[in-house]
Amino acid sequence: MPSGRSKSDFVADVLNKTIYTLVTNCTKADGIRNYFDIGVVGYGGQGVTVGIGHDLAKRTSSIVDLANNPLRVEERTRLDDDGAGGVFERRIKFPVWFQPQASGGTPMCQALTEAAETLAEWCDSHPNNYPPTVLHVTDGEATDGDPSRVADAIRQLSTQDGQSLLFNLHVSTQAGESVAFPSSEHGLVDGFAQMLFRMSSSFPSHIAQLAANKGYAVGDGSRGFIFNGDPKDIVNFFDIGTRPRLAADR
Amino acid sequence: MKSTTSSGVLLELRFSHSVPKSPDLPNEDHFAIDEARQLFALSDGASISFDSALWARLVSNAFLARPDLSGSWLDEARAGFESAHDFESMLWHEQAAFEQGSFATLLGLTVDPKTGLARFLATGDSVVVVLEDGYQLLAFPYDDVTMFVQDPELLSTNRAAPMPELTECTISLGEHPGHISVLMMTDALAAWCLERGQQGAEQLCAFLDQKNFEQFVVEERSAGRMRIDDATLLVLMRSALA
Repeated sequence: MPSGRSKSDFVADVLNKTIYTLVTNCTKADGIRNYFDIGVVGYGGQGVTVGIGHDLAKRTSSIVDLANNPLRVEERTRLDDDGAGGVFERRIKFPVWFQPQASGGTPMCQALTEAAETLAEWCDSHPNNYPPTVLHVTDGEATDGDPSRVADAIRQLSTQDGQSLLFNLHVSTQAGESVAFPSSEHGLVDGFAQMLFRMSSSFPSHIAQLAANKGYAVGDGSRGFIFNGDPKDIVNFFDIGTRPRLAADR
Repeated sequence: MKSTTSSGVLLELRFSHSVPKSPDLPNEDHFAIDEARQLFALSDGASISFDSALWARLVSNAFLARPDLSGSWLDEARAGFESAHDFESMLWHEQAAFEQGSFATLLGLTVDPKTGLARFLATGDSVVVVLEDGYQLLAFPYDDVTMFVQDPELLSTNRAAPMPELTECTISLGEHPGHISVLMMTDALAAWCLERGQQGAEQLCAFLDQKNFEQFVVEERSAGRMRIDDATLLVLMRSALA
């Protein structure tokens, strides 16, 4: 992991950066456009927790709520190009909404069930909206049963604009080959990887294009699934999964 | 050979209007015209921008101020953008959006009434179509609807952003004695036009009334035949040479 940080800390940073990017992209001179609702379900040694940010114990939060209610805003430094062949340290603000949980158990079924219930309500109350995308990140197999049926239920949820998408990212502290966006479970290393593949939605064409633009080999039937993802895969997974098909996007 | 009015104008502005993507959202297209000096500019601000409406206005006005786009024209436009906002008083997300940058296309036209030379400068996907007696002479910088799938290069308020390539195209109007029509359009309308070829261009040339144009845009969007985006059209014309 970069800077010697744990994988869970790195994933939390990527999630916070993803929310930061979404808030930034929605911020205009005359206010914030509420283009997205976002929900986060965490699970681990302390069970399942729902909600992000300060007092945002709601299942989903609007972009405006997130912009106004980070847990805290940290001051960090970043190296920027000085335009003359060198770099300089720049202080930047890094808002934090999500903190990683302690590892221990993996109540994946319970967490996915929580997500499914949240999204079922959301789809009912937003029938004309772009359908939900679920980005699921796990470092191990479920310890509370078989999550396949809940995953299928999530993928059956829909709005008038289409089906919900479920993408799965496996991260691990073990060294090994990573597999990104395969079209088949053939050749995946074990039954766990094959199950995560079957739980994953196929790429719609605009998302397949995003993945291809990032250098991934994407073919017919490629699914939103990465096994044993490295740091670059983690960043790309969140970026690819949070770019909806905006009608007037550049 | 050249047909100019008594004021020396070669191309006359026949129609200009812009329809925002939604009545609830600001129009991020801007056009600037100096007909007496034969300068015409069109800019389309990108949706993922902090203040694209202002940036599109500054870019199109900058073209009128310095149509050869020489010297520090872009830095001057950026300075105008920066002075319009109080960065220090912004919230964290406003600062982040400001620093990320605002982006816009530029399509500029200069016409020399003495020589009849029309010069187009462009970056991005705003498009000009030139017709003679209804037949297309050129489409620039895109001449095919499939080109709109690529991400266009845009002018940015961010000083660290690379300067996009400005492409140029010229046409000697004096060598074309027929009736000349010039359509300058932002991308949603341009894609609609290129998809329909001569028939589409002729339909756009005929607009004289802003309400009719608005109705046309709304109908085409509702029918799914035009992408939902700000739609801007300038129609310039020169009569056939005697």
